[in-house]
Amino acid sequence: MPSGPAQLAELRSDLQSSDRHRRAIAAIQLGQLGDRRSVDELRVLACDSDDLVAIAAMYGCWQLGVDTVAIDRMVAALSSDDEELVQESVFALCGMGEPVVPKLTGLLIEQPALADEILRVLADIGGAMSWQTINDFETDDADLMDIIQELLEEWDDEDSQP
Amino acid sequence: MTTQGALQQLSSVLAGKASSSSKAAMIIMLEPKLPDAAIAVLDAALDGAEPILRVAIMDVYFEMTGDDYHKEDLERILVQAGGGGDASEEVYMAARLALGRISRSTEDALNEWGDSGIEIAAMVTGRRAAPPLSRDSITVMIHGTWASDGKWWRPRGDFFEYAKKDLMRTDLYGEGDQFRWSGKNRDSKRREAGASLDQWLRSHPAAEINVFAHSHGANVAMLATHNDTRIDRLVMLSPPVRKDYFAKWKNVGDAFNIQADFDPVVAIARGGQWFKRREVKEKKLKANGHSASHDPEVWRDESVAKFVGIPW
Repeated sequence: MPSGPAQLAELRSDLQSSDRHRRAIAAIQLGQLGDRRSVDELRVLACDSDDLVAIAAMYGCWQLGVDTVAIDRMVAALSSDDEELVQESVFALCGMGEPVVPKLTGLLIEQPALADEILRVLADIGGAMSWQTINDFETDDADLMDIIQELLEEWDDEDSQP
Repeated sequence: MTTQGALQQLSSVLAGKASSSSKAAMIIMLEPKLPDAAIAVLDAALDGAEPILRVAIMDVYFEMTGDDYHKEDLERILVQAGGGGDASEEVYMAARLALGRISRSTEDALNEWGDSGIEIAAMVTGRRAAPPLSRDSITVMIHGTWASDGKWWRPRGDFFEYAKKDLMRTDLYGEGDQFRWSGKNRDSKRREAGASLDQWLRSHPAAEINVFAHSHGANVAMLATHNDTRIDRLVMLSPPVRKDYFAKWKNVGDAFNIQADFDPVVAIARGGQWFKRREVKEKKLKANGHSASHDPEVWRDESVAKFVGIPW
């Protein structure tokens, strides 16, 4: 990954690229490199109409400590037909890790239609808080109960089950 | 043993504490000696029996009566067991054998069971064919993270059909028990999947093994080589490259790494794009995006088949 001043300048310039993948990569890498000079541009891109770019920018913002990321858009993308978008969202949410679990738990209540995806991504994130959230989740939906059962049964020891 | 003695033994086997697998083997051995009265005993034992025992009872019932009454139940068990796992493998093979004895038309099977019908239809041609037969070659497609429900890698999916027809991979495996893994985004699940692929390849023996694997599916394929399973050609499509997943290279013939020019998914997965090892031939595509490497149009436009040396 580039990291010198010239490379950072190139990445900042890539945020304006006409190629969506190039914009997305630049947003991700500027976040990973901790380039705080890009915060304002990343905030703008996080509202982009293109999900691929917006999710990359949200991830970049999160890496820079911006805690106002609207992860509901990431979670909604988990059920997309676009495999690339699904995978980008999974890796972004898992990359954010345990700090994002309270936001996901909140979304479980606000958007029960996305419960399947949220529970599965919580299982992928792992950790005691995720386990507790999955274990405590109550539903009348038999399919969802099956998913919960499966997630808890498959929980690894290394996943910090309490 | 008299027929009456066989009937008594049947009753005691069914009531005993042996495992369902043992019971299944024993009632099949008893079958030639069983009187007609055994049919009612077998029928009563069907309820609540585990799948392996159910299959054996249905098999014996057909042998004794010539009646294909349980045919659809056997097909259902076969399809359900096709998902994998140690226990289901045993049931799957037993159901295959039993169904091989009950003929039905290929067309009916395909209409009724779709892809799994191909498996059932294959059984129509032979009675008690010895599974699994070793093939000359097999080509396997493996999906990536959260993509086990995806289409591109399965029969009728775009890349699957492209590989089969345009790349002439007639050995591409697309039957009901096609390899799949959980797709979960966890290191432990990828390692489990590597072990599972190793087992799957051993249960589908072939003289030559070729693999197309996307994203973390490529890491699953590399992990499968850690236990001395050999992959003759490994075509990795946009893998997040991580040293801890590297193959046991002596077990890989030709390895290829196809990467998009700009791939945000690999970047966000914190994987590298390049192996930079002499064992792996690498190609950077002009196309961008994580799915470009399994896009038939990209393969055509950028001569990817030529790069991986197809025709093999």
